[in-house]
Amino acid sequence: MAAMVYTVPMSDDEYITVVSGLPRSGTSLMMNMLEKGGLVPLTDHLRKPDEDNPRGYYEFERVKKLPDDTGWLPEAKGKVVKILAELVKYLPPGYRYRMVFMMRNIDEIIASQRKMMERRGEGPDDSSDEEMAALLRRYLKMLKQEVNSREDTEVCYISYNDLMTDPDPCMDELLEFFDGKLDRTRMREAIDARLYRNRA
Amino acid sequence: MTEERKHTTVSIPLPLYRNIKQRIKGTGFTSVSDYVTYVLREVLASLEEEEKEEVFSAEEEEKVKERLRALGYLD
Repeated sequence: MAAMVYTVPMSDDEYITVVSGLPRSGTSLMMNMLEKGGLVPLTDHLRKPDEDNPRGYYEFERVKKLPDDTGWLPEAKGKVVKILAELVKYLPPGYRYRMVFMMRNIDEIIASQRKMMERRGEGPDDSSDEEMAALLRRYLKMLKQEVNSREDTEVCYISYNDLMTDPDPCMDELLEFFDGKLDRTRMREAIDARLYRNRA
Repeated sequence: MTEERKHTTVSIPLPLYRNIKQRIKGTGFTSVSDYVTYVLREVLASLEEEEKEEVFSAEEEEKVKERLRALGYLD
């Protein structure tokens, strides 16, 4: 057998690490894991922990201003920032992105979103859960195509369901993605099955 | 700032490797790795183009955005 070697010279400080996915797909958990693993999160702590996210949201408000506000991106180099999947397409060229994209059973996402909306006092929208699930499946497919087609982005897809039920293979994948530079033991500690509350 | 090299190794059958090595002679490719990387990128791009045929309408996208706003994830 012959070996092909593809080399990319790159320092960790040059990457902007991004955690993305749909809301309620485990992005805050992944932020928590990567922080424990040794990455510095870029967050403003404005959105406080609550019943839906007891360990915090790890959000950075300026992210919501994409694509108009990109001035914070240099600050994100060498750190990890949570970016809603919808906004990933607005990440400007000129940087290298390393992305962990969270996947989760769509029915669980819908159930979790429904509860969160109720707690926020939001009325039900026009779509049934079935319609929204079908919509989100197609939406997710479109987002993944966009992410996969970016030459400036390396992506690792992680299933929240697998992470909560059989974490070790996911941990292997993450460690490989980050060149083994994260603290596996501490990352593993962030996974709390008690927080897996909406199961399909 | 230290610069590191990141390697990913993929194994291919030796006859295929030899075949490619012969094929790239006289082309602009300087190594089998370069050629294989080019071919794989072309294949993936082609697959992604095929998948793009399914169009997500502006109305559907707005429905999703409404949901994201209701959840507080989008202004």
